[in-house]
Amino acid sequence: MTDTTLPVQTPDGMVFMLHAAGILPRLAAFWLDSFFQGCIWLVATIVCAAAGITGGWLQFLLLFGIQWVYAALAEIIGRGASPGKRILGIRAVMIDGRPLDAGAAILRNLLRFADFYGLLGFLLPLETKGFRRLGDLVAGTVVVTDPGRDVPRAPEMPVLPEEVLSPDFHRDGRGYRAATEFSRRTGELGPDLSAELARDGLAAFFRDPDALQGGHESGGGGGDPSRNMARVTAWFIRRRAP
Amino acid sequence: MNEMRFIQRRESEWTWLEARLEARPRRRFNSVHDACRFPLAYRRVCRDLELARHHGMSGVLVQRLNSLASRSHHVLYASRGQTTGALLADRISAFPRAVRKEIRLVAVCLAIFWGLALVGSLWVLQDPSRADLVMGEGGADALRKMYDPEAEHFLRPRGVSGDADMFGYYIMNNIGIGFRSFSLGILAGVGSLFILGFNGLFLGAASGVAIQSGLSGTFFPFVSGHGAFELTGLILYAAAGCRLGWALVSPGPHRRGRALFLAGESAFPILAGSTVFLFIAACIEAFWSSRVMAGELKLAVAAFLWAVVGVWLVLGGRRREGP
Repeated sequence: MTDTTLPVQTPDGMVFMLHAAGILPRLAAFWLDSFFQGCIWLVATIVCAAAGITGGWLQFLLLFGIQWVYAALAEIIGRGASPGKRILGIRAVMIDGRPLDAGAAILRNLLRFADFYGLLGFLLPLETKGFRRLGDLVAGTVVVTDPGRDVPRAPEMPVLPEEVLSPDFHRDGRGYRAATEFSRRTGELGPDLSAELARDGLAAFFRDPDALQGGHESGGGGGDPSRNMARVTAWFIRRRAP
Repeated sequence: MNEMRFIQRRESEWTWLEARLEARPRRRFNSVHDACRFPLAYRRVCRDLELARHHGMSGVLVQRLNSLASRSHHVLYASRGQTTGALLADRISAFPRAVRKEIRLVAVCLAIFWGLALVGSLWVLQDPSRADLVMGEGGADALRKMYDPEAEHFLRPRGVSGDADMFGYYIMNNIGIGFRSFSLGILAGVGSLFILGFNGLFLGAASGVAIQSGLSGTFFPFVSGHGAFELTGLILYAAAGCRLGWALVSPGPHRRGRALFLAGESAFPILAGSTVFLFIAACIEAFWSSRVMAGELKLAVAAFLWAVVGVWLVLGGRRREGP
């Protein structure tokens, strides 16, 4: 597994995480932008022809604009997100988390040309942290998933059973988090996977998880590991919420 | 720390901050009060994020606070613009300073370009049939036609007619070459030096053909005027490209990624300045060099332009030079 999180240390002494965008969404954004470049060329040519502006100079300037100016300008205007990137929900930012500045936008897009030589543009991102290509290294930028996109509004707490199960041992923060996260997601996982994960989780909370299941067979809870896990969660929540 | 109570207590400020972040930049703050509250809200969200992480609160909550903090940071630490005039003056004077800072690379590129130009012209003068090796099949003939005062296409490249066409062509072709040369410099400088060297050789071969065909009276007045900006610009693009490549070869006390970033910072003013140079060159080439007039006048103007470029690169921006 590749870790895509990039910690950013702010002047306020705080650290937040940026999530580097993967190679595939970036390629898709590149293709989309290439498509838009083609569209711009077509529309501009038709409009100018209709307006009676023709001549070689127009084609020369249009080609120059599309080949060299479009990418940088689109990123400057979109504050790091060209139209293709915006659609894919990714954005180029400075490596220290600040918005992309104009100089960096120009540098990283000019160096795109060198990226096509010897597959550098495809191999280097696999090697650098945050999938940065040559242009990113020179300009000091990185492409991240847009932090403003798909933010969960408010965490939903799962419905928990009345009876609680007190674990034999628990690391305070981590145990609480593992149990609540599990109960929150158990609905999405499906019964088999959920039971498997719950067995692993219970092994971390109890000295003898098998005995636990057996012991509750006759009682109320039964041997269902998912249910036992929910009861552990209930214990964490109730214990913490007076 | 009870997660539910924590959320209840802080939710109103998070919602407020979210609304500010989603508003359009110009509508972000409706009052001075709002604007003053923003940095405070940002710091409190930073604290909330640390609290949520420390107490192992739910992943979604941490994720939401992380998003709030990083987006607020984005807004708070966006570079605010200086006045346009001051910014422009700073950028303009940065160009000659950056060139002087990289004087060794610039000197190498100058030597390679002019050296190969000299070699090329001598080589072609010895045997005129060699010109096509450098200039491509029929290149020498096309050149003779372009600079022959009797010819139909006098002072116009093939397939191009009219000043505006030439302007567009020079922008696309020359600045395109410059950008390629800069970009390929990152391959340890090889790409830049190849493009630079080839252009030097080409210029040499072309002038060899012109001298040998007795067209120096039209060739040199045409080339020298815009050459002050065009050739200097091309050489500086290559120097900027080599700056990147050199950072890769010899990163000094830094890691290569960091060295590349620093190289980008010092190469950028050269890149920007060269682009302006080539833009000026395209204007001169399309609207001045192609005028049919006395060669002496053109040469005098050219000498003046070369002097301006040289003096400005050597002396420009010294007043703003830092310690």
